[in-house]
Amino acid sequence: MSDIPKGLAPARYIGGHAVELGPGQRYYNIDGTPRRSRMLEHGDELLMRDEDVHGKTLWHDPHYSLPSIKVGLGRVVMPQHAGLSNEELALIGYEWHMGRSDVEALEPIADTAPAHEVLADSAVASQVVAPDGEARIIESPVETAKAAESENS
Amino acid sequence: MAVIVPIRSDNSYIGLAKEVTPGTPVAPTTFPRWQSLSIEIDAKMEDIWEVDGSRRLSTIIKNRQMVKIKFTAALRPIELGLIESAAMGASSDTYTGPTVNTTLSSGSSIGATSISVAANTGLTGSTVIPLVIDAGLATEEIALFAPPVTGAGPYTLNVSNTYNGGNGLKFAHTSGHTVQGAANHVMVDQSDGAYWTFEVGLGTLFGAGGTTLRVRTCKIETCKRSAKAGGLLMHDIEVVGIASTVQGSPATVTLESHQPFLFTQSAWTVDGATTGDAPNLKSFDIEQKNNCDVDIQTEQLTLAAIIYGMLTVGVGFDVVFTAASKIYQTYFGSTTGTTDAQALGLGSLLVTFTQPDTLQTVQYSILTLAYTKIGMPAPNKDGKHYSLNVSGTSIASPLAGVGVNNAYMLQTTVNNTQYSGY
Repeated sequence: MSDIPKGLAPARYIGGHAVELGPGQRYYNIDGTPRRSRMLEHGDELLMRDEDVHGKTLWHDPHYSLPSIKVGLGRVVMPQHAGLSNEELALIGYEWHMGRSDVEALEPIADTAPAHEVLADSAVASQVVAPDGEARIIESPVETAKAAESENS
Repeated sequence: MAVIVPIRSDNSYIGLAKEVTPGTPVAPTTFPRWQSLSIEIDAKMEDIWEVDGSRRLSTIIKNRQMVKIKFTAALRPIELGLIESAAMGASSDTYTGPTVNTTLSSGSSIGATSISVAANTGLTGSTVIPLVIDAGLATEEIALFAPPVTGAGPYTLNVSNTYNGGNGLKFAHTSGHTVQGAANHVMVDQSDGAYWTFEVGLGTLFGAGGTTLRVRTCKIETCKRSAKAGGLLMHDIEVVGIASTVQGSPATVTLESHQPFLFTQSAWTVDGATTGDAPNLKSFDIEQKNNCDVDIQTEQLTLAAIIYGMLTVGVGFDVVFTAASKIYQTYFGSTTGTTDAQALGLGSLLVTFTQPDTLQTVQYSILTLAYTKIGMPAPNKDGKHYSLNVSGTSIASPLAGVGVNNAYMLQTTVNNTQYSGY
């Protein structure tokens, strides 16, 4: 599956009615070859935006000062926040996006998916991308910001 | 000199999906083909004037931020049901599965004048009925059939000779595939709405730049259905949402493969009659305002919740002036009134749009319509026809004036091929 274009994931359409794939985009079969048919019917397989297949996790600074971060595909929790309840995670800025309800993933989330991606320009580099793609999160943006503050003071 | 690469203004899309967990965004699954589209980040700013001996503005702070989205679309039957259910509110859809729900016992070919089906439930009468074969597949075909079936199972069901010019089925179909009647969705206004996620791509199609914004935790503020002579049934939707997030790439846009409804497909019953003004409508609109409360803000910059406020359903229609009864009804107390009266002119409204396949329909029903204004026909020396502009509001009081209040302000009934509740 190494030929899969970046940001796409193999999926099966399980919607109840046939749909037409919209113009303006290129579509790929799950082997990475261009998809020729614009019709998508129940059971068809294709590559779709990975976050629409798996969902994604974002982190927003509850105090609106740090840039938001894409923590990763699927439901991901930073190691230092493991064990917190959903309510607690939401309070410190976690936001989970669910995938499309009319598709199902054909493969688990790729290990090579970036662990951290800043959603907007950042004045403070508050995240670290795992070099080997395995360690999903190294430190939280909140802790990084605190560390930067203490260094400056 | 280098040229710039401008972004086409039509490289945009809107998509939506219902949030399973309120506050948790979800990737959109329905993408109406829009005819107008706008999104506004509604930020409330406050000038901070502090007295420090100067006359200079100290600073500006942002008090609140929310999102407003507007779009206009000629909705297809399945997405129409989705939008109607979103506007009506949470759990507004009462779904009834089709009476005819069977499968092909053997394959059929193009031009087939009969099919073989496994069950005869709903197929023993003698009325021509529409059925859909292969719903959900590219070979979906809504055809007319002429019961009763014959045989002892599997059963033979004839294709109506009024379908496809008497030339039988248009597509070949595989044994075992479904043969179904219409799915029925009845939706009425609810006390509050579910939360939805909307996603707007601004210039992000065709590999262009632009941006894609996903707006979570939205509710429909207004939903206006309208059409005019010869035109499409249109929906004008206004949405309010709590928070937005920039997406890294555009969604996979998927479009429903059915046709929109036309004004020429409508049949009207006005004040209980199909005569009088009913066949003389030139245009109409039914506007539902949910009057959402968008002032629920706590410690966050964004809203903590959105709830439906008081509901109003307004109706307007233009009718070719052939009788003065609507004027009398509105201002003189009855269709035959002759002088000022306090009594409201009350009526009702029922309109059904039916697509040519006769399976896909949408019906709007208002049980008590209080006429509030009639635009009096303006004398004009051009000699052309008069039109009456009629305005009314749906009210809960029963039309008869006694008894329990109406069960709804507006009821939308959709027959389509969405075989599950919205």
